[in-house]
Amino acid sequence: MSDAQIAIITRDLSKVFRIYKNPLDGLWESITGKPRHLERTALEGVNLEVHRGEIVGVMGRNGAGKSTLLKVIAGTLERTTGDLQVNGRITAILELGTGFHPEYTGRENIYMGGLCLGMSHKEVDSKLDSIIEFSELHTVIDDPFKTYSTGMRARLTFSVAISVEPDILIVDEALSVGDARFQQKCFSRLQRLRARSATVLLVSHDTNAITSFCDRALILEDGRVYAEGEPKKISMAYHNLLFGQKSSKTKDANASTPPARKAPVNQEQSLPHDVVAKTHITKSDEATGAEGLFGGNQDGESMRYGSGEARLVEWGLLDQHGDRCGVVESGNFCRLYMVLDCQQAIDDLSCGFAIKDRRGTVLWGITNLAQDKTAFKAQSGSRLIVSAECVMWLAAGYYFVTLGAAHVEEGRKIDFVEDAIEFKVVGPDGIFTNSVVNLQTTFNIECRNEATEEATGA
Amino acid sequence: MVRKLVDLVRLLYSRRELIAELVRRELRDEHMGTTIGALWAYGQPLLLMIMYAVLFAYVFPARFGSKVSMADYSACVMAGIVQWLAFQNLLFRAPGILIQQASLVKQIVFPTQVLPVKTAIASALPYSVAVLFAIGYSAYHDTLSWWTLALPWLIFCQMIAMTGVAFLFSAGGVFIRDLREFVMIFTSINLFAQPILYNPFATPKALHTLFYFNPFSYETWCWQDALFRPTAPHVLAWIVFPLCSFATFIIGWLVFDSARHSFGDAL
Repeated sequence: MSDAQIAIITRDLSKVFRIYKNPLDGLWESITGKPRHLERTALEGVNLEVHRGEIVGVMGRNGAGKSTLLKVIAGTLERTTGDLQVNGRITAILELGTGFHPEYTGRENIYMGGLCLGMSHKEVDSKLDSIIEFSELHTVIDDPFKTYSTGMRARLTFSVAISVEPDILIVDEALSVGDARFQQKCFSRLQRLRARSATVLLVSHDTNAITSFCDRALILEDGRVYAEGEPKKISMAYHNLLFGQKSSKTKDANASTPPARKAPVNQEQSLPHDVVAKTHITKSDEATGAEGLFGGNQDGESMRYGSGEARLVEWGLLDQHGDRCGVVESGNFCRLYMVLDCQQAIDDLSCGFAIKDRRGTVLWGITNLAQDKTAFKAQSGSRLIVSAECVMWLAAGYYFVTLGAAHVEEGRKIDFVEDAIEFKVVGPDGIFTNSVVNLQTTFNIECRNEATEEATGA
Repeated sequence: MVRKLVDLVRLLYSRRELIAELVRRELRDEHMGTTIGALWAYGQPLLLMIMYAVLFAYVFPARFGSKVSMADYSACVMAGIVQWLAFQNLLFRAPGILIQQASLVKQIVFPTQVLPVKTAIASALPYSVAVLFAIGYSAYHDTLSWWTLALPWLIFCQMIAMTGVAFLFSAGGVFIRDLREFVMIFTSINLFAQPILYNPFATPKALHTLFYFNPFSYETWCWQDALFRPTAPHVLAWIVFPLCSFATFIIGWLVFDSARHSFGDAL
């Protein structure tokens, strides 16, 4: 990879904040040379390489160092050690409405924001209309900024920031306050930026957004890069990190997501999830219904997590005849099921299924909580068979089923298997091949010529 | 060092529109919501000047019954006070420049150098009307001379000095939050530590020695020469004042530049 294609590169980047209890301590320290501060490490040995024309998603828990990383890259914070190289003009949206004055109107603030970002008056003039149009704030653009809602502020901030046409755009969660449609619009704008080989660095907690729009994703944890790679895998690992580790009673499934870059020790664990899922289907075709069938490779499953108070022992997709299947015809009846062994009594059990498409977007989902509005009380040692009968109204394509059980309270996961089942839907014929759903359509064209029209009129 | 200064000037030039907009805003914001708005920014200094003029032309002479022509004396006070009021205005604001704009410094990729320059201009600009008043007052009392032509040069030097102080204090204010309080005390003392309010023909010797140690005195003398026809011009002041101004600017910028990278952390 030549240097010209690299937008951001960091080597062993670290950031340590010095905390002085007393402002005089800093002065005292510089005079005597004796340290009088506490250190808090925000970033530690971050290695990162971002290429031109790439959208990279950054995930991580609160306090993991995401914002610090972005600020160091943007240059508003100085790194403590390590190398940082940035090629190109950076624009950063680190906070909503920065540089905007609440008393001024939206229009005046566009000028101010544009000037702050390095545009000239003329440039702002020429872009004013497109900025207002993108923000969709025509009606309120001459009202004071303070009267705007949070979402409107985000829209104006984003519209101004993106109008600079930066080489590198850094967005820190600013998009999450916009409504879904505006987010969508922003993302397609980001993709247009990417087409001009601009680079986007995006912090988001929305795994859907990350999987749909990013080329690559990374997770920061305790100031380090915890995992990095393909967005779908990374967002699952992130999910795992959020919910899986919290109550680690059993060792196997909980600790099963290794830091992808650091320790690809276990070959089985680092298998791509879809490969693992496929094995399920072939095996299930061979021996139907045998108990503990998947025991062998379940623990090796990298996308399985939960506290282990109950354990899924079997799951599958059945066709209208009750046979296991990997292919469902659109419009046909089918049944999803799973078998859950409860090791302990669980008072607030919620379990169910979700179907996702290849991008990881959830298309459908159901739990007993959603269905009955009450949690299920499971006794210790009981075996639950959970099933969902449905008509497959999805259109042709490949889909994945995520299934699992969780506590209602805080959504603490008990046992979750991401993409446990992969299946294919075929048909219906006669609609677009990229259709998402089957609407059981009757389509016709009625021809009415003038003669008949006159006839009906008369 | 020369390159750093050239870079600074280039950056400031390329961001002149931003600076202009920021100055406009600072003057407007301060009196936001008042009926006559930005007029206050210019009106306040003018009212102050008129107050001083009345005080020194009519009130004090009546009290002390001095033998010197009191009208002349008040013209001399006008010449000295106008530059100090402008400078004092900057000194009040300088320590807070970056602290008040913390979000700009921390949150976006923003040329922080622009902020002190903006404040220097924004604190001087309202005194343009006051300077015109001082010139008019001198003209009325017939104390203008060829030295008056040097006024643009004096204003330029003062802007340089004010920008330098703005750089120095804005950076200092980030790390030493007490700076503001020190400056408050300093400004109220400094009014009396330079030859502004004193009758030039009746100043005690001891005070004269003090004046020579105060860099602000040289500025005052220059302004007095320019607006109050000198019998014996302060030649030394015309050399020291520009030198001090440029030195302040360079030192201020170097300190600001070296501290610039830690602003984000300290705020």
